[in-house]
Amino acid sequence: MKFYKFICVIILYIICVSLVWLVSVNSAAHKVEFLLSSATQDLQEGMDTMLDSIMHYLGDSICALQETAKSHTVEDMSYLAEMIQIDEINIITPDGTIIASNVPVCLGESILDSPAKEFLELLDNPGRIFISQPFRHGISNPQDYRKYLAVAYDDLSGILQLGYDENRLADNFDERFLHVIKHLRIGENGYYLGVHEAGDKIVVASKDQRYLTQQRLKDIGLSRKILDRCQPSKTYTRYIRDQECYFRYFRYAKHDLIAIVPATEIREFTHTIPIVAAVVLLIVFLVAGGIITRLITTGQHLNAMRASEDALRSKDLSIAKTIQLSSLPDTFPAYPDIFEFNVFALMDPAREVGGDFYDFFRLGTGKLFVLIADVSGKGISAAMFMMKAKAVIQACLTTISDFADAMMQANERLCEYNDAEMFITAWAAVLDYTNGELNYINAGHNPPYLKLRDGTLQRIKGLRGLVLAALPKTKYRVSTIKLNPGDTLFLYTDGVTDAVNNDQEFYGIKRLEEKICTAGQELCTEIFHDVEKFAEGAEQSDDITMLGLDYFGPPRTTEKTFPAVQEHITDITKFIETFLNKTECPAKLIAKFNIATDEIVSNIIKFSESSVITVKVEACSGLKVWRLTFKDKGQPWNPLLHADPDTTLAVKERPIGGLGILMVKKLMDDLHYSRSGNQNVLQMRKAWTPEKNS
Amino acid sequence: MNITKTKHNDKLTITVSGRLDTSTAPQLETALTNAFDGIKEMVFDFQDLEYISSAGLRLLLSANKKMLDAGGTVIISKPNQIVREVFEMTGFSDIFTID
Repeated sequence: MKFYKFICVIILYIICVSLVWLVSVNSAAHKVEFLLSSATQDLQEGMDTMLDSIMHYLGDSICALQETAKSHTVEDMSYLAEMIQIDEINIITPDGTIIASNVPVCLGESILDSPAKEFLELLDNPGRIFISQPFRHGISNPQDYRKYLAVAYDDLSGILQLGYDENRLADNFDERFLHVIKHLRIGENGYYLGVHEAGDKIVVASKDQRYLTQQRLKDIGLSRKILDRCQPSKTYTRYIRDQECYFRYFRYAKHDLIAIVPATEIREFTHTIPIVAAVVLLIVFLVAGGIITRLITTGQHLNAMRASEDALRSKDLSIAKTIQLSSLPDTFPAYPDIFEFNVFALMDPAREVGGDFYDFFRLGTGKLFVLIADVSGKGISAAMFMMKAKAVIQACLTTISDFADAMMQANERLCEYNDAEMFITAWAAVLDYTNGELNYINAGHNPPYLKLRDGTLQRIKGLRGLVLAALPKTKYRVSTIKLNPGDTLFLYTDGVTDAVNNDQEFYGIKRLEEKICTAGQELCTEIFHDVEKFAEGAEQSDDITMLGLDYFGPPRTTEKTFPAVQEHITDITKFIETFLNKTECPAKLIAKFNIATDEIVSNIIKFSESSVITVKVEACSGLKVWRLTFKDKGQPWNPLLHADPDTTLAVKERPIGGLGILMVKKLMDDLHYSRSGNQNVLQMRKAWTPEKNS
Repeated sequence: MNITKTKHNDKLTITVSGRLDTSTAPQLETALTNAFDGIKEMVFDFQDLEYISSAGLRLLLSANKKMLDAGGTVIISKPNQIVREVFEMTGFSDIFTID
């Protein structure tokens, strides 16, 4: 009986080990198949995306320059095509007629019967940026083999279609290919090779295998003949460079691109796992007695693991949100002492953080940098990349004086180590707030709005460059506009227009434009509430981010010097009051300024022993903010150093002095003392906020 | 600034209009000299007072101390919002009766 039991256990053990071995070998085959099919697919998609982004960039730039779809001569179009190194450019009206082209036979033709018809959808759906199609034969000239992409003119007067010839790509193949494969990996040790479709010489190879270029397929154990016998997109085994390898190839732009992965890659499945399994199973069988209890414990353990995974994931999301929010400036008013402008921004992160961010900071004196940006992707990786981007852009802007150079340098640094192939759309500007000059750079972001003093709305189109972190050596050009006092700049990310309600409708451009026009001083907040109201509580998939910049121009100001004697306090008060009245200061605020003036001037006369007092009053023309500055040439006297009197004592213990300065501190928003040269400078500021003062 | 005094038995009403600050406080100081004799209730009518600075508060405090010594009270009547605010920020609202 015992013997039978023993034999049974042995047989059971052999069956188990064999099963594990079978499953491992099967998994190995699957893994190879998966590695190679995704490797070839990634490469093909990478090449397509790279071409798309080049063509999209070119198309957008042309549309921005030409503004509207109209006819041009074949010569002009040919010149343009040659300039931007593209093979076909067609301008097509909404009815599908080609009204301008560098290819004479295309002129006047209709695209309604060709695959290009799809491009007209751009006009029905202004939200789409471009439509691209894979390589195909031309309609008017079937020997052409081209990739086509179209963008719409901003005014929807037509579309611009670009064609990129396979031959052109084949001629520049190595450069394009190397850029795309830079970040592609095949397992741990796999790599890519490329040969011309008729050749045997390796023309391109993955970075770590670059020494293989110029060698022949023969030299590494493959050959043109073998390749021709193999079918594209099927996996084969072969000794390549004296090592058992799996490979698969596909054809792209007259090249055969081969993805190779060594058999050692799947060693774990063919060797490690079966051996480990045999040992483990042996142990398991030996302690068969305890197996059931063990299974129960494992079950509990699995549940616990699942729960902790969920917790980790939601923790990841909250970490991402914290990273994103904590790195953005959110104290407003951000520059209470600067009267020339007011900047406000807000961001509402989606549950799965989208990587939006904004930034603003002063560059030296008289200049303000503003930025809004959207990182591709979501979650913690987008948040991390956003942190890096924000730091890099700030570092470049503060160390490089030329704006375009700074942005180009930022792009270089963001392209480095960008293994995840993330990119950023951004709109950045430097405002010289002494004169309203606004220099800006658009890196693939949606153009912002400019609300003029008279209420009209403009879109700041200008030149649009490629997104940041996509291609090294990208050039960015600066455009310039002039802001006038009373103008407001409004930047936003597509999370605003793409906000949806429960009927899956978009908030859209039209609602946004209407709201910008009707909104008051608190533009961003009002728009945000409008979007919230529209969404009716529907969860948003993207962050909602906005930045508003009100330009007020230099403040109105007046200044006068008075003798520092008791008898002139009334004159000083009157001088200040006249200016406050002229700048429409509310009466309640004037009373507060009068009290503060009375306290400060009488203190100066008493303590500093100066013979004169100079008074300066400034009024911000946009926001209701006023600032008083008192200067005297007496001995150093800082009223802020005096301790506040105790205002809780009983009548008899109440001290008489010190109340005046306490009142000024409480009446004003801000009181600031400095000793400058031989002068005491005392500055105070007060803003009118209806809810606080009414 | 204008000051008028109305006496009714042991109640003295001092009506102050305009601005009570460093330059006008001396006028009130003069008006208060010798005004305490036989007075049990001193009312400052501030209905038409625009604002008050610490120079004015000082006079009110010393008047309050004097009235307290004599066993009387000081009442601040109908101050506007700013005057009320000043009383609150200085803690004067705790030691004066305001109506």
